[in-house]
Amino acid sequence: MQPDLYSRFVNISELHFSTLTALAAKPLHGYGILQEIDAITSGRSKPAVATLYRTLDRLAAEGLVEEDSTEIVDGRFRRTYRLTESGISLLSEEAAARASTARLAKRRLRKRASDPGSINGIVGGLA
Amino acid sequence: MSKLELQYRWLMRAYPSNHRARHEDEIVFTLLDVATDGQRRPRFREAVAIVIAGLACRVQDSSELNPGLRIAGVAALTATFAAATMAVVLAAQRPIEIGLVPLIAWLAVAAVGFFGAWATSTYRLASASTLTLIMVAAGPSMMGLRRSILIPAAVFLVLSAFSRPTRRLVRSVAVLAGVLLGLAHGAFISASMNEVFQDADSPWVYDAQWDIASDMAMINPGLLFVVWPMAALAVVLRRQLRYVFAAAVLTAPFVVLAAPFFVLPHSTPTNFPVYVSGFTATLVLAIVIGVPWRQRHRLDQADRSG
Repeated sequence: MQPDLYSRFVNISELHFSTLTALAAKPLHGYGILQEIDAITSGRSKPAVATLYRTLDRLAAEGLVEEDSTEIVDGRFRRTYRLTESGISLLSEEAAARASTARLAKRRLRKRASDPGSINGIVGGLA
Repeated sequence: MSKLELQYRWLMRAYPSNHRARHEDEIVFTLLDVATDGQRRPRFREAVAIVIAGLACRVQDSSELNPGLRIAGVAALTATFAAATMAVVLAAQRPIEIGLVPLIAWLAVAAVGFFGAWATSTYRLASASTLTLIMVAAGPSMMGLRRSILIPAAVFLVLSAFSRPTRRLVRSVAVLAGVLLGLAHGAFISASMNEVFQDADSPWVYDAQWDIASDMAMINPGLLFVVWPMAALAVVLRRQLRYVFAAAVLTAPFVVLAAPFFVLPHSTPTNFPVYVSGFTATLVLAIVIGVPWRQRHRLDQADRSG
């Protein structure tokens, strides 16, 4: 993992992260990526098709995804995309960073709940 | 091909042609995959996303222009929008005059030309509308240009806006069109002055007795609107054709910066706007010519030292 690559994407957007995550298991075409994003985010994120392809363009320009194959299914042209090595590295770094932040957030919430000086602690104690 | 697919493909025209050639099919088929059963029209959200993404692509493509033209494009756009705002304010104070139509046409050139792919047609339409309206506004003869010259030129430019086979021919007469446009712009300004300053004693009416000040006031816009477009074309014709349209972007503010001043009712004629637009023209062209040359000079130096 090149440090400058990560620093460029340190503020990676949710859609970039979801797209990379969708492609983590296997190559997918546009519609497949949309379905995966829907599943990953439990329906919270439903990007517009053009927005998804703009994201794919940007990720491809950064060398994070690339074309895997093209095919015609039921008369419809499909282009599938896959993660590059840089994409895999970035996704694993980003996933680790997000997991770390999530663990910290949970720990602080637990501490807040158990702190008798806090509102939540008082409410929790009364209960 | 379903009606829905046709509508999506029409929306895809927001993208530049090179992007459409590569991605149109996959984007449209994904949109059809996402569409619900019985859906007849594109969803509003999807349509907006297509247009925004397409325009964003065009802006990204324009970044391939050299730095000087990018800076000049921004300068031209800023000046044009400022002048357009002024024109709208003036229009609110008096009945809308005919000059606003070419002003809007050139504003469109400035806005669209910066994004690249649609510049050709927009430039031709703006040229055609300018020439046509000058004929309407100024009568049978003005500044040596007769309708017998202007009408074929206008028809030719209108046709070229829609007809593919004439494009090569248009390219070959680009310089001529530049000269005609320059003269036409000068004539348009003159026509506007003639319309506004109807006082028979005014030196601004063609038939009145002229003095040196009014002669200079007439000559300056003429020179400005002939010489600068020609200079811009001379610079750009040595490069790619798309820079011709960048030149159109650059010349637009020269007209729109000066025109609103000249059509002010009950104002004293002044050369000030000519000087202002001349200064702007000089500044913008200096940037256009200077920045790429400077950059090339640096590259040459790097090559030599490397």
